Amino acid sequence: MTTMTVPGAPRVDKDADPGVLRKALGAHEFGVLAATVAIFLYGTFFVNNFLTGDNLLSVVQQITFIGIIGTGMTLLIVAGEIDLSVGSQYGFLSVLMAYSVTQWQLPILVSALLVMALGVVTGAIYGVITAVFKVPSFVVTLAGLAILRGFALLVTDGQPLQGSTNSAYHSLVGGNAIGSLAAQTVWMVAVMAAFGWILSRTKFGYDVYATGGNMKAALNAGIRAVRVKILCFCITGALCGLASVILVGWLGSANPLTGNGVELSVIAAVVVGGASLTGGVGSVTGTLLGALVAGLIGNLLVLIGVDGNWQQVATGALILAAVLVNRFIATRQAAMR
Amino acid sequence: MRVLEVADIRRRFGGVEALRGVSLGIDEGEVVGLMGDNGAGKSTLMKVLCGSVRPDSGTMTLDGKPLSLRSPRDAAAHGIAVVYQDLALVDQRDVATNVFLGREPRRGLVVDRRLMRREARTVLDELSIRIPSVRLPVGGLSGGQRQCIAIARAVHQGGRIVLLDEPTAALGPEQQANVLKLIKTLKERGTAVIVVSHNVDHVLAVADRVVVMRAGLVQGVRDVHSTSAADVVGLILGSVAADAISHGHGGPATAVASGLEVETRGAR
Repeated sequence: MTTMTVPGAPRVDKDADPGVLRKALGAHEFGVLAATVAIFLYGTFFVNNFLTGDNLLSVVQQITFIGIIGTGMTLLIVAGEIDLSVGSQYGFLSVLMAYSVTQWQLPILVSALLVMALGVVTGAIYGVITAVFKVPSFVVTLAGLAILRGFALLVTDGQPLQGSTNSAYHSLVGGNAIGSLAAQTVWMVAVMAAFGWILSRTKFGYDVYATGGNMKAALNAGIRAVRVKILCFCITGALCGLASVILVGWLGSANPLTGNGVELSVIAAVVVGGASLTGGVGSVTGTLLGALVAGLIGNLLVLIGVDGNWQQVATGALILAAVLVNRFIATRQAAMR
Repeated sequence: MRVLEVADIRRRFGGVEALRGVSLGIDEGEVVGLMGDNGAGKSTLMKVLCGSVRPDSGTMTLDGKPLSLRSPRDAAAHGIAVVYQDLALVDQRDVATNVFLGREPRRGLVVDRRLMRREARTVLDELSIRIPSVRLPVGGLSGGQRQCIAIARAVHQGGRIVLLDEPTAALGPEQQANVLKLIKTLKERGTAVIVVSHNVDHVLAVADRVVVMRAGLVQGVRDVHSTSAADVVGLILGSVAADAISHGHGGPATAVASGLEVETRGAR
């Protein structure tokens, strides 16, 4: 065998992929990934009945609505904005879904599209007020939170509404897909996969990051940043609508108090997942892990038999821990350069 | 060859006449230093050149053809790119993404990241800009590297006329040298460069001509080979003030020029 001679020294590729491990260690999602793995391992070794298919599937099912709405919130937070009204929107649109099917007797598909379209319109209104009239989204959506909850209560007189009894609708969104894998889990995975791909791979996703990272630079580079922000609000509204459609189909009724406080769990999932509230940083994968880690902690506390109220405390502690870990990663990254 | 020429440009903001009939031309491969105290009209002229301000009157010609710019986007389409300090980069994104910001290459629906990284590296190599890896977020790079990346983007996105706004301000000496070197590289490639700066030494080091503005007019144009820092500072300040200062302190001309930045634009 003869050895091949390479002319000149082999050129080192400076831009080579740094490898999976180094990438993971430097990623904004590292903290939440480590927490998820640690909690999962703890449950596996120390808690009975944790590592069963049914239990894990139920955890994933419980985070469905946080996951779907959180996907929109991820786009919005990466774009440098926030929507505090997602819980109210989810509640109002659930009520509207039930109302549309029972009172107006509209077909389910029409009702579903109507509800999602109304979510888009709500998002567009927030987006225009925020991006065009320069009112901070925090304030605009805080107003939206109150207004939409009010509407939800007005429409129903504060009483839960009966929804559809259509069995096809129920099984499409509330039944089991395969075995004990819930249909709503499949919906969540589909939504997160689609928007995860859009955010990380497409031109629109790149525009979202640029808009949230440095709006002036984005505008200077010819990115229509105002439109990007409005679109992110619209997507969040549409996903609140989708979550409502799934919920009403699953439960067969709609409570005007649906989604009370959900905005906090959703924002927690996004922030625990490594997103920065100042914009430009975050990912759908991170949000999924953020929702998952909160779900796992809740599940473990129940299995261990701890008072349910501790779950709130644990969620709060989780947010603090995650933010501190992200802070630590950011400073370490700066030091490594 | 003359690429861009503006003649008798006037622009008024309310009661303030920011430009009172300014004419300026630049050739291919030429570096023009645009100087003047604050309020002299440099920024307004730059904004006219990059399409973000429309002049009240005056003509612009590009390659001998009349030009009218409706927006910065329009200017960019004509090959006129402006690089603002700190308004150009997205810190959280990597070098390759920043070089392509707003114009990411696509393969189908997906941004072609491999192509983007490869081409970004080629552009940086061509311009002799040293960056360890195009995967690094630009937020962690030095001021000089960031400035160079911003300029690289302007060039890569087809800028034949590059406007640089204070490219060396707030940089360390070594970083400043790198940016000045890059401006020379651009000149060798035939790019026309207009540098707005308060630093006389830097302008004299890279420019072919210095255009000094005062009170909305071109006060004087000097060939760098036949002028001195004191001469340029004299133009910037007006001869009387310059005499008083150079006799009074006798300090370096640059310190005088940058030390006297008085905000005079009350209307802005």
